[in-house]
Amino acid sequence: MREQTTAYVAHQFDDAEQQQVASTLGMWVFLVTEIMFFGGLFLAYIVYRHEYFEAFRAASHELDVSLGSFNTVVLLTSSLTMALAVHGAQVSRRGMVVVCLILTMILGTTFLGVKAYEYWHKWHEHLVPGPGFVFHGPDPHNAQLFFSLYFAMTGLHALHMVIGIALLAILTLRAGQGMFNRLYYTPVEVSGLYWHFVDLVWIFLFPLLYLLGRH
Amino acid sequence: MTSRTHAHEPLPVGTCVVIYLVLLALTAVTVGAAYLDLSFFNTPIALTIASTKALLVMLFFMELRHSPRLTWVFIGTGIFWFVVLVSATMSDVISRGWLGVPGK
Repeated sequence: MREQTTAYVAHQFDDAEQQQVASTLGMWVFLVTEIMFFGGLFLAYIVYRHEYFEAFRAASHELDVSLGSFNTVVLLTSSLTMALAVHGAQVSRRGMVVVCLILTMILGTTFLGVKAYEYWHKWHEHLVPGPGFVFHGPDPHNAQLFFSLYFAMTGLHALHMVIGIALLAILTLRAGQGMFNRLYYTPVEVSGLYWHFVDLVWIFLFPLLYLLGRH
Repeated sequence: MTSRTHAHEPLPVGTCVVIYLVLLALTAVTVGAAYLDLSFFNTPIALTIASTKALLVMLFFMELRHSPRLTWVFIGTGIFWFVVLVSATMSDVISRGWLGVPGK
């Protein structure tokens, strides 16, 4: 057992435990910088929503709650399949890892497809900020602020998903080669942390953007 | 020597599915609550549900329950930073009109 375990340990670490703890802590440090990254946008949203509440409320009505809810379910399901992929690696079931990673990628792509349709729809309705912006509700000038934040926040989120799907594609190939087992599955685990983080961001984006003043 | 990589049992599939179903239920609750007029309370309720969902994802899917306390400290600093950012900024934004500008 010792021999098998140490085979995966890089020379700077004492043992597999230290290596695993260092890897996950490093990933969490990156995710904390991601909180700061998205945090600035969330702050901008909070400030402008406070200043121009009626404009934000009216603009939020233009978003499609059913598509947003559907995408929330898709992303939560992808988090489940990602958690199952990590589980599969932890119990050395290669087939389970590969299938779950592929399902996660399909769900992630579905999310992006719906998002692309929503963007196209907003473009079609002249709700993209800029010279072509037309808004018939109150305070169209500040409604543009809402849509600027909507595109910036969901766009940055979508970019993270594209990167996540690329990571999972590489991971799927490596999992297929049998690179991960119960003794070494750190890449699956830290990619899972990243994927769940992207889900966390959406968990807050969905109510703030789609459900604002829906009543 | 036991490797840290299997120092704790993997999250059981059943637990994953239960957490997933709770997350779906909370999503339904937050969408439903958004259509009720709760005046001031709509946003706090939506944010409480979102925070609960985030906590479930972190504790179970991200296995924070079994993470070293050092990891908790790092995440805590990130959240603390965000709270400072928002509270410091909003204390300015909200109170800006309270006092007149001298000499104006």
